[in-house]
Amino acid sequence: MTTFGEAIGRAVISRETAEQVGVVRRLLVDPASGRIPLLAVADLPRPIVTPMAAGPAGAGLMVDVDDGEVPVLLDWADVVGFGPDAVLIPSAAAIRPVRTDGERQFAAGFADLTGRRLLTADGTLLGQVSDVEFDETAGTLIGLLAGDVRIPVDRLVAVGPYAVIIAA
Amino acid sequence: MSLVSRATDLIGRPVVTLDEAVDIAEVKDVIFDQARSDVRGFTLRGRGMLGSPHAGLLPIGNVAAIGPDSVMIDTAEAILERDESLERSSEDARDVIHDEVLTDAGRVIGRVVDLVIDLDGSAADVVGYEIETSDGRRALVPIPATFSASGERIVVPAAVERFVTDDLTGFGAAVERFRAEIAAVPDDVAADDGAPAAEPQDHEVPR
Repeated sequence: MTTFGEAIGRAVISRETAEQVGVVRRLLVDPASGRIPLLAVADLPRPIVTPMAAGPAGAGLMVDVDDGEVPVLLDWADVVGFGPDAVLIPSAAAIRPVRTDGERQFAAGFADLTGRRLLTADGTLLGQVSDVEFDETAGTLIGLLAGDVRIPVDRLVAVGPYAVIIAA
Repeated sequence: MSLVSRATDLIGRPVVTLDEAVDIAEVKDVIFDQARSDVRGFTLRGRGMLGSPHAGLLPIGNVAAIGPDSVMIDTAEAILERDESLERSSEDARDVIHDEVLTDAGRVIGRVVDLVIDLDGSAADVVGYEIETSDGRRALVPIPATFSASGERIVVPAAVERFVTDDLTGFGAAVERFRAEIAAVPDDVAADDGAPAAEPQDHEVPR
Protein backbone atom coordinates (compact mmCIF):
# COMPACT_ATOMS: atom_id res chain seq x y z
CA MET A 1 0.00 0.00 0.00
CA THR A 2 1.16 3.50 -0.78
CA THR A 3 -0.34 6.96 -1.22
CA PHE A 4 -0.70 9.37 -4.10
CA GLY A 5 1.58 11.76 -2.23
CA GLU A 6 4.34 9.14 -2.21
CA ALA A 7 3.72 7.94 -5.77
CA ILE A 8 3.75 11.36 -7.39
CA GLY A 9 7.22 12.21 -8.60
CA ARG A 10 8.23 8.54 -8.90
CA ALA A 11 10.34 7.75 -11.98
CA VAL A 12 8.68 6.05 -14.97
CA ILE A 13 11.22 3.73 -16.61
CA SER A 14 11.08 1.85 -19.91
CA ARG A 15 11.91 -1.83 -19.39
CA GLU A 16 13.03 -2.06 -23.00
CA THR A 17 15.68 0.66 -22.87
CA ALA A 18 16.14 1.10 -19.10
CA GLU A 19 15.72 4.81 -19.70
CA GLN A 20 13.57 7.13 -17.66
CA VAL A 21 10.73 8.50 -19.76
CA GLY A 22 9.15 10.73 -17.15
CA VAL A 23 7.73 11.00 -13.66
CA VAL A 24 4.28 10.21 -12.24
CA ARG A 25 2.38 13.49 -12.12
CA ARG A 26 -1.13 12.42 -11.06
CA LEU A 27 -3.38 9.38 -10.69
CA LEU A 28 -7.03 9.09 -11.71
CA VAL A 29 -9.61 7.53 -9.41
CA ASP A 30 -12.72 5.89 -10.82
CA PRO A 31 -15.09 6.08 -7.84
CA ALA A 32 -17.58 3.61 -9.36
CA SER A 33 -15.09 0.75 -9.67
CA GLY A 34 -12.64 1.83 -6.97
CA ARG A 35 -9.82 1.45 -9.50
CA ILE A 36 -7.05 3.69 -10.77
CA PRO A 37 -7.39 3.38 -14.55
CA LEU A 38 -4.97 6.09 -15.64
CA LEU A 39 -1.84 7.97 -14.68
CA ALA A 40 -0.58 11.29 -15.95
CA VAL A 41 3.14 11.26 -16.63
CA ALA A 42 5.19 14.39 -16.90
CA ASP A 43 8.15 14.54 -19.22
CA LEU A 44 11.51 14.90 -17.60
CA PRO A 45 12.76 18.45 -17.41
CA ARG A 46 15.10 18.95 -20.31
CA PRO A 47 16.97 21.94 -21.65
CA ILE A 48 15.72 23.56 -24.83
CA VAL A 49 18.64 25.07 -26.65
CA THR A 50 17.92 27.66 -29.31
CA PRO A 51 20.73 29.16 -31.41
CA MET A 52 20.55 32.94 -31.52
CA ALA A 53 21.38 35.00 -34.56
CA ALA A 54 24.32 37.38 -34.33
CA GLY A 55 23.33 40.66 -32.70
CA PRO A 56 24.92 43.49 -30.72
CA ALA A 57 25.69 41.01 -27.94
CA GLY A 58 27.15 38.54 -30.39
CA ALA A 59 25.96 35.13 -31.51
CA GLY A 60 25.11 32.51 -28.91
CA LEU A 61 22.71 29.96 -27.55
CA MET A 62 19.53 30.66 -25.59
CA VAL A 63 18.91 27.94 -23.02
CA ASP A 64 15.44 27.39 -21.57
CA VAL A 65 14.03 24.52 -19.56
CA ASP A 66 11.00 22.51 -20.59
CA ASP A 67 9.79 21.63 -17.11
CA GLY A 68 7.55 18.80 -18.27
CA GLU A 69 4.36 20.74 -17.65
CA VAL A 70 2.58 19.03 -20.54
CA PRO A 71 1.66 15.62 -19.21
CA VAL A 72 0.91 12.56 -21.21
CA LEU A 73 -1.02 9.50 -20.17
CA LEU A 74 -0.25 5.97 -19.13
CA ASP A 75 -3.00 3.39 -18.82
CA TRP A 76 -2.72 1.36 -15.63
CA ALA A 77 -3.05 -1.77 -17.79
CA ASP A 78 0.33 -0.91 -19.31
CA VAL A 79 2.14 -0.71 -15.98
CA VAL A 80 4.50 -3.67 -15.59
CA GLY A 81 5.61 -2.94 -12.06
CA PHE A 82 4.78 -0.23 -9.51
CA GLY A 83 7.61 -0.33 -7.04
CA PRO A 84 8.88 1.90 -4.24
CA ASP A 85 11.52 3.45 -6.48
CA ALA A 86 10.12 3.33 -9.99
CA VAL A 87 7.18 2.54 -12.21
CA LEU A 88 8.14 0.15 -15.01
CA ILE A 89 6.47 0.22 -18.43
CA PRO A 90 7.23 -2.11 -21.36
CA SER A 91 8.55 0.70 -23.56
CA ALA A 92 8.20 4.42 -24.13
CA ALA A 93 5.44 3.55 -26.62
CA ALA A 94 3.10 2.90 -23.66
CA ILE A 95 2.97 6.66 -23.07
CA ARG A 96 0.10 8.02 -25.10
CA PRO A 97 -1.43 11.42 -25.80
CA VAL A 98 -4.67 12.77 -24.34
CA ARG A 99 -7.68 11.60 -26.39
CA THR A 100 -10.85 12.87 -24.73
CA ASP A 101 -12.05 15.97 -22.90
CA GLY A 102 -12.30 13.92 -19.72
CA GLU A 103 -8.66 12.90 -20.08
CA ARG A 104 -7.67 16.50 -20.76
CA GLN A 105 -9.43 17.61 -17.57
CA PHE A 106 -7.67 14.88 -15.61
CA ALA A 107 -4.30 15.79 -17.10
CA ALA A 108 -4.89 19.43 -16.16
CA GLY A 109 -5.59 18.47 -12.54
CA PHE A 110 -9.36 19.03 -12.46
CA ALA A 111 -9.97 15.46 -11.30
CA ASP A 112 -7.49 15.54 -8.41
CA LEU A 113 -9.00 14.37 -5.14
CA THR A 114 -6.32 15.91 -2.98
CA GLY A 115 -7.41 19.28 -1.70
CA ARG A 116 -11.06 18.65 -2.41
CA ARG A 117 -13.76 19.21 0.23
CA LEU A 118 -14.78 16.15 2.19
CA LEU A 119 -18.51 16.19 2.88
CA THR A 120 -20.67 13.56 4.57
CA ALA A 121 -23.93 12.46 2.96
CA ASP A 122 -25.79 14.26 5.77
CA GLY A 123 -24.23 17.58 4.84
CA THR A 124 -21.38 17.98 7.33
CA LEU A 125 -18.04 19.30 6.12
CA LEU A 126 -15.19 17.17 7.54
CA GLY A 127 -12.28 19.03 5.97
CA GLN A 128 -10.20 18.36 2.90
CA VAL A 129 -8.84 15.24 1.29
CA SER A 130 -5.14 15.33 2.12
CA ASP A 131 -4.04 12.14 0.37
CA VAL A 132 -5.30 8.92 -1.20
CA GLU A 133 -4.22 5.39 -0.21
CA PHE A 134 -4.04 2.75 -2.92
CA ASP A 135 -2.82 -0.76 -3.60
CA GLU A 136 0.00 -0.34 -6.09
CA THR A 137 0.00 -3.99 -7.17
CA ALA A 138 -3.72 -4.17 -7.94
CA GLY A 139 -4.26 -0.55 -8.95
CA THR A 140 -7.18 -0.23 -6.56
CA LEU A 141 -8.24 2.45 -4.13
CA ILE A 142 -7.96 1.66 -0.40
CA GLY A 143 -9.06 4.84 1.28
CA LEU A 144 -8.92 8.59 1.62
CA LEU A 145 -6.94 10.53 4.19
CA ALA A 146 -8.10 13.78 5.72
CA GLY A 147 -5.33 14.75 8.08
CA ASP A 148 -5.19 11.96 10.67
CA VAL A 149 -8.59 10.58 9.70
CA ARG A 150 -8.64 7.55 7.39
CA ILE A 151 -11.78 6.88 5.38
CA PRO A 152 -12.08 3.40 3.83
CA VAL A 153 -13.08 3.33 0.17
CA ASP A 154 -16.40 1.58 0.90
CA ARG A 155 -17.65 4.83 2.49
CA LEU A 156 -17.19 6.71 -0.78
CA VAL A 157 -20.54 7.93 -2.17
CA ALA A 158 -19.59 10.33 -4.95
CA VAL A 159 -16.73 12.36 -6.34
CA GLY A 160 -17.69 15.62 -7.98
CA PRO A 161 -16.56 19.14 -8.68
CA TYR A 162 -17.83 20.48 -5.35
CA ALA A 163 -16.79 17.72 -3.00
CA VAL A 164 -15.95 14.14 -2.26
CA ILE A 165 -19.04 12.76 -0.52
CA ILE A 166 -18.72 9.92 1.97
CA ALA A 167 -21.37 7.95 3.87
CA ALA A 168 -22.26 9.62 7.18
CA MET B 1 -28.79 13.88 15.92
CA SER B 2 -30.83 17.01 15.75
CA LEU B 3 -29.41 20.45 15.23
CA VAL B 4 -30.95 23.82 16.01
CA SER B 5 -30.36 26.59 13.52
CA ARG B 6 -31.67 30.04 12.66
CA ALA B 7 -33.61 30.12 9.38
CA THR B 8 -31.37 32.91 8.11
CA ASP B 9 -28.31 30.71 8.76
CA LEU B 10 -29.64 28.32 6.11
CA ILE B 11 -29.61 31.06 3.49
CA GLY B 12 -26.65 30.68 1.16
CA ARG B 13 -26.06 27.07 2.20
CA PRO B 14 -25.05 25.02 -0.88
CA VAL B 15 -27.43 22.39 -2.26
CA VAL B 16 -25.28 19.39 -3.23
CA THR B 17 -26.27 16.32 -5.26
CA LEU B 18 -25.35 12.94 -3.80
CA ASP B 19 -24.94 11.27 -7.21
CA GLU B 20 -22.47 13.73 -8.75
CA ALA B 21 -21.28 15.85 -5.81
CA VAL B 22 -22.17 19.07 -7.62
CA ASP B 23 -23.18 22.25 -5.76
CA ILE B 24 -26.13 22.80 -8.04
CA ALA B 25 -27.71 25.76 -6.21
CA GLU B 26 -27.92 27.44 -2.82
CA VAL B 27 -30.72 28.27 -0.40
CA LYS B 28 -32.30 31.62 -1.16
CA ASP B 29 -35.15 31.49 1.33
CA VAL B 30 -36.84 29.08 3.72
CA ILE B 31 -40.51 28.33 3.08
CA PHE B 32 -42.40 27.38 6.19
CA ASP B 33 -45.96 26.46 7.07
CA GLN B 34 -47.08 28.70 9.89
CA ALA B 35 -50.10 26.57 10.83
CA ARG B 36 -48.10 23.35 11.15
CA SER B 37 -44.89 25.12 12.18
CA ASP B 38 -42.79 23.01 9.86
CA VAL B 39 -40.44 23.84 7.02
CA ARG B 40 -42.05 23.05 3.66
CA GLY B 41 -39.06 23.66 1.47
CA PHE B 42 -36.64 26.17 0.07
CA THR B 43 -36.48 28.63 -2.76
CA LEU B 44 -33.11 28.38 -4.48
CA ARG B 45 -30.73 30.63 -6.34
CA GLY B 46 -27.66 29.91 -8.42
CA ARG B 47 -24.20 29.68 -6.88
CA GLY B 48 -21.60 32.39 -7.05
CA MET B 49 -21.69 35.97 -8.26
CA LEU B 50 -22.92 34.97 -11.69
CA GLY B 51 -25.57 32.61 -10.34
CA SER B 52 -29.18 33.00 -11.42
CA PRO B 53 -31.41 34.68 -8.81
CA HIS B 54 -34.00 31.92 -9.34
CA ALA B 55 -32.89 28.32 -9.48
CA GLY B 56 -36.14 26.55 -8.65
CA LEU B 57 -37.90 25.17 -5.60
CA LEU B 58 -36.89 22.37 -3.30
CA PRO B 59 -39.78 20.74 -1.39
CA ILE B 60 -38.72 19.36 1.99
CA GLY B 61 -39.83 15.88 0.90
CA ASN B 62 -37.15 15.92 -1.81
CA VAL B 63 -34.34 16.74 0.62
CA ALA B 64 -32.02 13.87 1.57
CA ALA B 65 -30.42 15.70 4.51
CA ILE B 66 -29.94 19.17 5.90
CA GLY B 67 -26.50 19.37 7.41
CA PRO B 68 -24.60 22.18 9.08
CA ASP B 69 -22.65 22.82 5.88
CA SER B 70 -24.82 21.64 2.98
CA VAL B 71 -28.33 20.66 2.00
CA MET B 72 -28.07 17.26 0.33
CA ILE B 73 -30.34 15.98 -2.47
CA ASP B 74 -30.21 12.65 -4.30
CA THR B 75 -30.12 14.06 -7.83
CA ALA B 76 -30.76 17.32 -9.66
CA GLU B 77 -34.31 16.00 -10.27
CA ALA B 78 -35.18 16.89 -6.65
CA ILE B 79 -35.38 20.54 -7.68
CA LEU B 80 -38.69 21.65 -9.19
CA GLU B 81 -39.21 24.45 -11.64
CA ARG B 82 -42.63 25.29 -10.16
CA ASP B 83 -44.88 24.12 -7.34
CA GLU B 84 -48.03 26.12 -6.71
CA SER B 85 -48.67 25.16 -3.11
CA LEU B 86 -45.05 25.76 -2.21
CA GLU B 87 -45.07 29.15 -3.90
CA ARG B 88 -48.21 30.11 -1.97
CA SER B 89 -46.61 29.07 1.32
CA SER B 90 -43.55 31.06 0.33
CA GLU B 91 -45.63 34.24 0.26
CA ASP B 92 -47.40 33.42 3.55
CA ALA B 93 -44.15 32.69 5.34
CA ARG B 94 -42.82 36.22 5.06
CA ASP B 95 -45.72 37.38 7.20
CA VAL B 96 -44.36 36.04 10.46
CA ILE B 97 -41.26 38.25 10.47
CA HIS B 98 -42.10 41.46 12.38
CA ASP B 99 -45.12 39.80 14.03
CA GLU B 100 -45.70 40.70 17.66
CA VAL B 101 -45.28 37.87 20.16
CA LEU B 102 -48.02 38.20 22.80
CA THR B 103 -48.44 35.92 25.80
CA ASP B 104 -51.89 34.75 26.78
CA ALA B 105 -51.34 36.72 30.00
CA GLY B 106 -51.48 39.80 27.79
CA ARG B 107 -47.84 40.86 27.65
CA VAL B 108 -45.96 41.60 24.43
CA ILE B 109 -42.49 40.07 24.73
CA GLY B 110 -41.11 41.28 21.42
CA ARG B 111 -41.24 41.07 17.63
CA VAL B 112 -40.16 38.16 15.46
CA VAL B 113 -36.86 38.72 13.63
CA ASP B 114 -35.95 35.13 12.72
CA LEU B 115 -37.19 31.57 12.96
CA VAL B 116 -35.44 28.84 14.90
CA ILE B 117 -35.49 25.50 13.12
CA ASP B 118 -34.81 22.06 14.52
CA LEU B 119 -33.07 19.99 11.85
CA ASP B 120 -33.14 16.24 12.19
CA GLY B 121 -31.88 14.48 9.08
CA SER B 122 -34.23 15.63 6.34
CA ALA B 123 -36.97 16.85 8.75
CA ALA B 124 -37.13 20.50 9.73
CA ASP B 125 -39.56 21.95 12.27
CA VAL B 126 -39.92 25.49 13.43
CA VAL B 127 -39.45 25.25 17.21
CA GLY B 128 -39.08 28.88 18.11
CA TYR B 129 -38.63 32.47 17.14
CA GLU B 130 -35.84 34.87 17.59
CA ILE B 131 -37.43 38.08 18.83
CA GLU B 132 -36.25 41.60 19.36
CA THR B 133 -37.55 42.99 22.63
CA SER B 134 -38.74 46.59 23.03
CA ASP B 135 -35.32 47.55 24.43
CA GLY B 136 -33.57 46.13 21.36
CA ARG B 137 -32.28 42.86 22.85
CA ARG B 138 -32.38 39.59 20.94
CA ALA B 139 -33.86 36.52 22.61
CA LEU B 140 -35.01 33.05 21.59
CA VAL B 141 -38.60 32.04 22.36
CA PRO B 142 -39.74 28.42 22.16
CA ILE B 143 -43.12 27.96 20.54
CA PRO B 144 -45.66 25.24 21.29
CA ALA B 145 -46.30 22.59 18.66
CA THR B 146 -49.60 24.41 18.00
CA PHE B 147 -50.39 28.06 18.63
CA SER B 148 -52.49 30.81 17.12
CA ALA B 149 -51.25 33.39 14.68
CA SER B 150 -53.15 36.15 12.93
CA GLY B 151 -50.60 37.47 10.49
CA GLU B 152 -49.92 40.41 12.83
CA ARG B 153 -49.33 38.65 16.08
CA ILE B 154 -48.64 35.27 17.57
CA VAL B 155 -50.21 34.27 20.88
CA VAL B 156 -48.14 31.94 23.04
CA PRO B 157 -48.75 30.55 26.55
CA ALA B 158 -47.44 32.83 29.31
CA ALA B 159 -45.35 29.89 30.58
CA VAL B 160 -43.03 30.48 27.61
CA GLU B 161 -41.42 33.44 29.38
CA ARG B 162 -39.53 31.15 31.74
CA PHE B 163 -37.95 29.33 28.77
CA VAL B 164 -36.78 32.38 26.86
CA THR B 165 -33.00 32.20 26.37
CA ASP B 166 -30.25 33.80 24.35
CA ASP B 167 -28.36 30.53 23.96
CA LEU B 168 -28.97 28.78 20.63
CA THR B 169 -26.96 25.73 21.73
CA GLY B 170 -29.23 25.03 24.69
CA PHE B 171 -32.37 26.05 22.85
CA GLY B 172 -33.40 22.58 21.69
CA ALA B 173 -33.51 21.43 25.33
CA ALA B 174 -35.46 24.56 26.36
CA VAL B 175 -38.07 23.79 23.69
CA GLU B 176 -38.41 20.21 24.91
CA ARG B 177 -38.85 21.28 28.55
CA PHE B 178 -41.34 23.96 27.56
CA ARG B 179 -43.39 21.59 25.41
CA ALA B 180 -43.30 18.90 28.11
CA GLU B 181 -44.52 21.40 30.67
CA ILE B 182 -47.44 22.76 28.66
CA ALA B 183 -48.43 19.22 27.73
CA ALA B 184 -48.41 18.11 31.39
CA VAL B 185 -49.95 21.11 33.13
CA PRO B 186 -53.20 22.92 32.31
CA ASP B 187 -52.57 26.42 30.95
CA ASP B 188 -54.01 28.35 33.90
CA VAL B 189 -51.84 26.49 36.44
CA ALA B 190 -48.67 26.87 34.38
CA ALA B 191 -49.28 30.59 34.00
CA ASP B 192 -49.88 31.17 37.75
CA ASP B 193 -47.18 28.89 39.06
CA GLY B 194 -44.22 30.93 40.31
CA ALA B 195 -42.11 27.90 41.29
CA PRO B 196 -42.10 25.19 38.63
CA ALA B 197 -41.00 21.70 39.63
CA ALA B 198 -37.91 21.85 37.43
CA GLU B 199 -36.62 25.38 37.11
CA PRO B 200 -34.85 25.81 33.76
CA GLN B 201 -31.20 26.74 34.15
CA ASP B 202 -31.16 29.23 31.33
CA HIS B 203 -34.00 31.19 32.87
CA GLU B 204 -33.97 34.60 31.30
CA VAL B 205 -36.89 36.95 30.71
CA PRO B 206 -36.46 40.03 28.61
CA ARG B 207 -38.07 43.10 30.14
